[in-house]
Amino acid sequence: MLEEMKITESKPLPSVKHCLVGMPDTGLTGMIAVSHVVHSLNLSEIGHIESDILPPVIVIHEGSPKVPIRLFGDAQLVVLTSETPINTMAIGPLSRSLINWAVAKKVEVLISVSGIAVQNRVEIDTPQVFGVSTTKQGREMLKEAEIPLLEEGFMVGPHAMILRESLSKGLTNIVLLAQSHSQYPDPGAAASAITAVNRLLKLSVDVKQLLDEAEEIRVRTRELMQRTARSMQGMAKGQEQELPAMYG
Amino acid sequence: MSWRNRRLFRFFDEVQREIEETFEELMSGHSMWDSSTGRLEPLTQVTETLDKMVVTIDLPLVRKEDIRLTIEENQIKLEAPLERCVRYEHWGIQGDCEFKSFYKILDLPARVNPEEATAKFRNGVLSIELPKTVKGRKITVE
Repeated sequence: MLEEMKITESKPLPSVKHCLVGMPDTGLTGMIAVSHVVHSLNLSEIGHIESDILPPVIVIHEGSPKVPIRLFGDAQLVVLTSETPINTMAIGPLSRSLINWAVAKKVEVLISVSGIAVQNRVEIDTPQVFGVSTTKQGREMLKEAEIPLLEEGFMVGPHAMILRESLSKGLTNIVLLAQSHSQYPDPGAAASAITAVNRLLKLSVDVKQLLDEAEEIRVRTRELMQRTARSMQGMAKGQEQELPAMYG
Repeated sequence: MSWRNRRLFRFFDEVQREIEETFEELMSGHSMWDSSTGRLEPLTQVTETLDKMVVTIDLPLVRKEDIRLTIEENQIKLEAPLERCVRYEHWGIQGDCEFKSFYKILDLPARVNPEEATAKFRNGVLSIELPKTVKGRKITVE
């Protein structure tokens, strides 16, 4: 049996109202979006996730070693992000641990932010965001926030597994999918996703700075994007681009 | 096949895939930057159809008029200065480094006709259409 992930809280919280998750995947949309939320709301680091099945990576910031998957925030909003792609074998254990943690913390809504690759992304100035939710409450939140539902399609990757685990535990999980480049970092898609998060959670995270710095972010995240693209190949991410096998 | 066996096989498939991914990463692992020349390697994608290839190159912080692109039958060479230098401070053992251009030599998977190539640049993404020299021969299906 593979060892599950361990969520370590350096500042334990008795409960958490909302949780926002963004991992490196399509266009790095989720990771860029939630990193901007952490920076804009000046959220403090409150914990991290570790496991033997994660890549043996430590990042060093201002001389301090950090685990790549970390939690930021407070009892109102906890943000989970990763500075390294999640390998295929780690997705299941990570999702199970995260959802067990969210249930234990009585999280009302867990929002996963991601991108959905579109072939004509270069022609789109403001990417549209679509939503999927595990519960009626989540779908009503999407409707109220005027975020269209993704009616048909596939999802592959960490947010797909988080959705599956949420379904089995009855947790309200909303997945936000912004139209995005598939293999180029996409801060524009991240900005659209943040605007959708603002509407859902009644936040007011400003995306102007993100859009102003978009080109520099694209330069600085090239290598993470390339590593993530290789990781996505291993999880059949291309299936998201397939036409559904529907008939009748 | 029993449920237990299927689960075991799936586990071995996952392990195999992880090994392949790690091996591929080790084999393809190279830096996308060269601090001695101040050059960065851009992200590229190549898609191919029967009669053409489309190469896209992500070129943020680049102006269209600064792109120097050379297309040969089996290779693309690109150099594009950044409109401002990108600095990395206190990074690893490199210390401070500064990058001022993108540079890429891309070997094409098929021969193309450089005379008929076209390129456009939109939102920082360069898209190059390259008609192939050797096209497939159309045959009648009986």
